[in-house]
Amino acid sequence: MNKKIFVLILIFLTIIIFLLSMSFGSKSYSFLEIIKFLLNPKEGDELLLKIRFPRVLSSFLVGASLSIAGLLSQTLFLNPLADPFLFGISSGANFFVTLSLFLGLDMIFKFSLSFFSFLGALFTTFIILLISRMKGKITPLNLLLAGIALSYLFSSISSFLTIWGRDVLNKSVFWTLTGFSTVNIDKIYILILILIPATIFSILLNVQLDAYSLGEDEAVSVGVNIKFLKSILLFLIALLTGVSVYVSGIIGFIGLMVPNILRSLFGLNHLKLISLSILLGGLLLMSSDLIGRFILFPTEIPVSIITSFLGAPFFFYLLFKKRSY
Amino acid sequence: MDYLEIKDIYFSYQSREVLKNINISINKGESITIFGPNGSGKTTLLKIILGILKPDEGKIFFKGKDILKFSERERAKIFSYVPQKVYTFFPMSTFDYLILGRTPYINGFIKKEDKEIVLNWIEKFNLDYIKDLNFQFLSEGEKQLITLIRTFIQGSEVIILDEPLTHLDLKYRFKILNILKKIKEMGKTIISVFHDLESIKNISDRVVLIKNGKILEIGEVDKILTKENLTILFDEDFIKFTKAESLFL
Amino acid sequence: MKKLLISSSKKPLILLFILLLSFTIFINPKTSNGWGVNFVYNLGEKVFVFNGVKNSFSNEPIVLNGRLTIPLRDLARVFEIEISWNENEKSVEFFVGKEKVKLFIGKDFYYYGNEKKSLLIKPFIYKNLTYLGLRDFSDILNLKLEWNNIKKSIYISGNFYPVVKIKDDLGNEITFYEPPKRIVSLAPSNTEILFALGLNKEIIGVTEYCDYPDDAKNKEKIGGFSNPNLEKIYSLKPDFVFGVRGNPKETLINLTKLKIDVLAYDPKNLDDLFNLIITVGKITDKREEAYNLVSKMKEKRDSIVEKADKLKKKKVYLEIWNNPYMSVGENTYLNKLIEDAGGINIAKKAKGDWPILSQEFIITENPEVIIIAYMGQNIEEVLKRPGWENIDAVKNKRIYYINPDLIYRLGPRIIDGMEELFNLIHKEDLKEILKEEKNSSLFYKKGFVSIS
Repeated sequence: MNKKIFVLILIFLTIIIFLLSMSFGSKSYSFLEIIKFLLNPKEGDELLLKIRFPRVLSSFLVGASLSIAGLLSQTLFLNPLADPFLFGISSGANFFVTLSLFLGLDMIFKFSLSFFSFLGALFTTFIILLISRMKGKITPLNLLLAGIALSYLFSSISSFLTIWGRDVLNKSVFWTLTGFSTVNIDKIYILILILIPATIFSILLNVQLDAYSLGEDEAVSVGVNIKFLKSILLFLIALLTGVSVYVSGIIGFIGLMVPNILRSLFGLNHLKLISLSILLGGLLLMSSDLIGRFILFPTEIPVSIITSFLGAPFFFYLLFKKRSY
Repeated sequence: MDYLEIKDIYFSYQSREVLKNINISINKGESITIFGPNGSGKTTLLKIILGILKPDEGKIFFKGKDILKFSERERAKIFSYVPQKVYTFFPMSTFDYLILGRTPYINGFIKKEDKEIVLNWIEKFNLDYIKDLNFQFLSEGEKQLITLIRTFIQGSEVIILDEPLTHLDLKYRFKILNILKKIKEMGKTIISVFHDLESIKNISDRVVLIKNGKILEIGEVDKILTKENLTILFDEDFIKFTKAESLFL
Repeated sequence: MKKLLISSSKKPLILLFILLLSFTIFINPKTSNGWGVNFVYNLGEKVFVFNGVKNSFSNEPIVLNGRLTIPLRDLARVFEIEISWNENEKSVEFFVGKEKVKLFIGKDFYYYGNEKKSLLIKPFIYKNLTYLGLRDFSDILNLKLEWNNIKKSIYISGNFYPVVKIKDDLGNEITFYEPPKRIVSLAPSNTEILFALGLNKEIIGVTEYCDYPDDAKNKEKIGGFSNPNLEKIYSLKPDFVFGVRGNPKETLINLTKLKIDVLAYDPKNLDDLFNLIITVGKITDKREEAYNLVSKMKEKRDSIVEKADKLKKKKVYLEIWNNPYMSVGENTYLNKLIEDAGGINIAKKAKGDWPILSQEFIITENPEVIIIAYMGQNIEEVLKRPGWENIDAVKNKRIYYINPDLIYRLGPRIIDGMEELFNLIHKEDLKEILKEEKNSSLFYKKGFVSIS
């Protein structure tokens, strides 16, 4: 498939899905009304401004964040099956949430719960770095093992707390179903605040990332500062994952699917991959949210269920495909 | 001041001593080969020179400066590397693979001049047919060749090669040896590991005999590769192995 | 500290008083326990009265040798006894408590367990019905029979525990020959039902979450609701375990394998609940208490429905969780409670029992009242939710908190929950009505929580 055509189709689809997402809901709007709104937001419908637009926009931005996080983890691990949730960050975020619920800290300030998830993501990152540093060299395998071990540790402590605490069980179960149904304008601000610098940083590192894909030894030989790059990657991945979990809970598979699709078409050029990840990831998640809203309307299906439906078969496809490498 | 000085290097890995008391002094424009049995620490030594591994003791000086005091980029401008097994984890075009040789010179974004440099070298070596192919699907020989050409793009003065010919057929052995000769003519310094005496004879000026992490002897290529030395090196009776005076048959 | 001066003359009086007191405590006349039965028949009439209710005979009574005989079927029906007929032996069998009673047509003896006893009248068949002497029947059941010669009436009275065969929602069937004395409850709703029937003494184990009534807190804990401790339950040696949907099936099955009687239920609405309460009453020999409780609940419910009918219906959003926003679907009992209390559940049209709603939907539906049914939600925060400003409930600050236990436990307090819903939904209207109906006790009930 011609690459240019692909990009054009992506852009076209994004616009269409965006318009569809904006117009569909408990109250319908025509495409014309949407365009009018975009040109002059303040004059627009309250519902559009405060609920629908933030929702559609945030689904796009979270899709972008998760895709970049996925791309960076696949580069870091030198493995196309890597996913930010693989090495324990989501479990860490979830653990912090459960802990805060257990300690009754979830109502300290407005977004306490979400903030704790963010903190958990970062905390997990540092633990992983610490563990792998103890072993000497930070290899992708070490990181993976540290992540899996942490994942198990965190989920078992979380489970323990949920059995021990009373309301915690119900709350933490529901928490993983979040999605975009509760998003409002406040969450958009912090999404943008994190996403923009993280993207810029990743783009500035694009050549280093390309070189890292040669393998560690060769990357050093062409002048890459491995230690710095790996630390930065982990931090960026945690940041992007943390903010995504913050806004919309745990959503998997986007980080897995998007980089693989793009790599099969565009090869390994991180500049192109990062920019297109934003587009494809945003489109994919925005569409998933639309599907989740649409199928059993007015009941919402959490977007994470939709992405699992799409992502799980894709994962198996990759698993079997990988053997040909 | 020596060009490249390897001084008192000690290196252990998992409580096993891999390199002991390594001292080598290399001159500019020289081609020196590290030679010895498998597991004697050759690859480790190359990696230490490149800064991939850090020695437990000892230092390496380039023009008098400790190489670990250079930044990674500065080091990459001096040393380039052709590893034993060339491998990428993700599919990438050969052109993208080659342009990575420009990494130490790139600030953030690949520029037109970077691309032009690569295209020039591709033209020089008549590799135009290959540049858009997936690097992973090239033959062993092609991969090795491309990696060697990448060192040109990297523009370093020291080229480090680890068993470059081991998996290659005759055609590529020939091609690569020719390129190495040209590199030598350009005045670059070559540090290599070879297993076959033919290549050593063709390319190297001096040979370092290394066994169990220790240097046995350093000497000129036509003087050092005696049957006696080889017997000591490999614990194998080369004296009785062939009746001929010369081993180069 | 004042010293109590007791004059010497008063001492013996006090001693007597204490003696009498202790007499009453330790020598407690047996209070009427169990199902009080009352059978009245006036000679010559075509009906008999059982526990106040008139019943007609399948066939008229026959006087034989000066003794009244009645079709056994009629007695069995009102006394809730299951009769089995043995064609070969021409015998009739039924259980009285643990003992099996066997009567033979044409024989003047019968078996009470292994004991052979005599009858005054030989049972006979007339018009295809088995007849039994009334006094014989009364003796077998250990009841008191009185003959009023003046009125020409027979009175039979006493306490009787009919053997009950109970089936639960899991398909288990258990026959109770006597009321259980050691009961373990596996859910807070069950605990409340048991206590409401007066079974405090019989309850020997409850879950950690059972906190109502207060006495429940002092009971032995057998673990959680979704993870009860099998060994703990077994160690208490219960003779009846009362479970619900939500208890792990394996645990219930394992208890059955350990030869412990287990019944588990999944009441889905108020009628199921009423039936369950009656069933538990039958098992535990608290029929009267059960019937009373159910009729009280029905009465209260009906009065709320009546009151709600007179008031304008209001759109209600019952928020059962806030992240994501969840409410209750059409098929839940909660939906019915809201509707009966005069509300219109905005989530009714959503699919599923616990649908996740988008903010848009809630805003578009524009509820007049929002009720928060979980802990830890700040009302102020709800008022501040961006985009929610124009919802009627937010504009008029009609956001209230309801005690989750009142509506999530399908037990005796569910009607209180319904009442609370009614009060919250119609809070504004009620303020008007209050001015008119000051004497109504309905609105001054304890536990009224209001945040406005």
